[in-house]
Amino acid sequence: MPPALTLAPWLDELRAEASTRFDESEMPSDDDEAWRYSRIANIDLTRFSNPTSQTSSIDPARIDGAAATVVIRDGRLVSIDRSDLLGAATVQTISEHPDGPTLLNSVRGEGPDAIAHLHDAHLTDVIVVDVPRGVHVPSPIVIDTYSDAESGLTCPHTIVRAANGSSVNVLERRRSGAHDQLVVPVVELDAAPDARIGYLVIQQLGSATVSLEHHVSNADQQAHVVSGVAAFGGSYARTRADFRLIGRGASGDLLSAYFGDGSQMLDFRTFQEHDAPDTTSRLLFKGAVTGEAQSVYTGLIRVSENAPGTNAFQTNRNLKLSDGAWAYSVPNLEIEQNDVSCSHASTVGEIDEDQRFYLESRGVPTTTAEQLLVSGFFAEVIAQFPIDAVKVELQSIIDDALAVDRAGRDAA
Amino acid sequence: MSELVISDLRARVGEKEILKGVSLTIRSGEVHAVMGPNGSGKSTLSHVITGKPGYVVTGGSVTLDGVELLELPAWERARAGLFLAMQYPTEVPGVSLEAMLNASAIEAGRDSAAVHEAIAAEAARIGFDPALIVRPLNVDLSGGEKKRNETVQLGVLAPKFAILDEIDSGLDVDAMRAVTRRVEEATNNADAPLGVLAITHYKRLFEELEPDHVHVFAAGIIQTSGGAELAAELEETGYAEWVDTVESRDGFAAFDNPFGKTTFAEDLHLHEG
Repeated sequence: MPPALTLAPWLDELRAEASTRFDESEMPSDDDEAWRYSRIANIDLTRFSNPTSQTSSIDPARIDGAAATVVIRDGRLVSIDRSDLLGAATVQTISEHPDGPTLLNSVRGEGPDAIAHLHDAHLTDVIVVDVPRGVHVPSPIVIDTYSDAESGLTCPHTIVRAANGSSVNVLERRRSGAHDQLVVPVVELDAAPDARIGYLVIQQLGSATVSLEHHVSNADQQAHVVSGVAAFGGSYARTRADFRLIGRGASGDLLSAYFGDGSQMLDFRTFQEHDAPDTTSRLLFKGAVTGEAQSVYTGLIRVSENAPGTNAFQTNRNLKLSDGAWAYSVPNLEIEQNDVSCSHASTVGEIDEDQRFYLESRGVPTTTAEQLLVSGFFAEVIAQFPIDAVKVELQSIIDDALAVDRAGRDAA
Repeated sequence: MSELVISDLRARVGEKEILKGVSLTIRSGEVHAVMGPNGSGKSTLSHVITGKPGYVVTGGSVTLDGVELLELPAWERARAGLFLAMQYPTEVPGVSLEAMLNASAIEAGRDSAAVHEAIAAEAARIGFDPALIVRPLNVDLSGGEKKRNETVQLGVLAPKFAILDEIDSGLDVDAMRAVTRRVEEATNNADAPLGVLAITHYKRLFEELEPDHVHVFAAGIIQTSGGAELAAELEETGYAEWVDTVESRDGFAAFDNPFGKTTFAEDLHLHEG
């Protein structure tokens, strides 16, 4: 007997409407610029449905000193441990939240394409982190999602609201089991004037999981948002990030470290939207691909006529660690203002032969030299991620992935 | 007592033969200077011996105490006791001096805990800023700091033989003295005296580091050999004799004209007197 989905009535309504919209909307196609080079054409989005049971066999990935820990399994809330949550900050589901109906999708809006409707049609427990005016929550709030239902469709949804002058750090862990499934997460970050939000998702999905993730953030006057993605898993794992600077003097960093192996594709689309004066955005995405893996990065800096004094930077660097791997990188600018300072850089390259030789000439074996170089390549971006407690873990995830790859190569 | 024997070494880059039969034997504690004009293949000699990619060995051998180095990957040559101080030390973003030497120590089965202290001691000895030990290798370092960095590594790794590829280029007088003194001390180490192959243009390298043998290298071979007095002689006469007779015949331009279109920093030193 599957557990009934007991959601707030307004949520049920929203789901039903979204379902109709999804049926009526055109599916994304790789003819669209935002989906070019993607694998969307190979995915039958209609064959997945909400899991009817919960997998609870996996332990939550806790971190020491977390302010709160939320555990979600197969789309349903298992627990919220708020025992270390100080101040008046709250972590709750949207059904419990008094402003639930107006809060949901208040940052994202209707969304850019049919995937947003698919997400809304299959929403379950939405988590809302609310930080009141002037409250600081420096220890991370951790949200741990895991799913493993055959042909399951889960739609994690996190809303982080930081009121005026407040600050908060949120860490999401996104994992899944070996079953064939679809995960469609949405993250909404809303930084009020003078607020600071640090957000990081560590994506370690199973190798048969398709993921279509969407991050949307608003930074108001003098607010600062640091949003990071560490992406490792999934068969096809896409993250679209809309990073909006909507108040004068808003600033932020959009960061990613990704490592692809096997036959997976990691796909990133970023939009740095400057719509207010004197705003600054810095994007640094660094990735490595090996085996037959592929990565796609396309990014757009858009500066509206309302945004004089914009500073916008975009850097995407890719390491290609095998002949069969493939990385695609296209930065773009769209500027309707003269008073701007923008730069973009993108590279796809192999491990530098001279750097490797330098280490080897000091007695460092080839595989160790490569590990040091790849690790060093990622260190720059990992250092800028907002949650200090996971930086060592991220380096070792990358070290391990590389070690597996090099061992496989040596055996071949 | 160790012996590095280079025998009839030949190598090419692409289709171009650069080393045309080089033979040289260096024993522990000896300092051999290889002097020659730019473009003569001096750096190629150092790269081929140490195993830098991009060169094809077409003949000859390089042995260290009887072990053929040319069959080993670069890192095993280093482990066998060979060190290269590079003319232009590579910038390695994200990897520190300490991380690299730790990895090397672990591979060699040495105590990596001792590496930290060894680096600090060597750095103090030659005036290398300790703050640079944990910074990315060679990134944003001045020419002098880079060469001091190379010398710290030489001190910590304590190789049997060191090839110094124009270690005097891009150095101020103080750094030059610090670096050459440290090398000279290593050659006088009673337990394990270092053997040195010092590639250079200029005699000034030998103010602190006394060469036992000087070899004139041009057009891919050793043209002539002598004692320390040959270095002084070369400073007077230059390499014109070999450049003119050999290199231009091979289609090379003469590289050492200080007023011509030259690219490398060492040409500036010509005017320092």
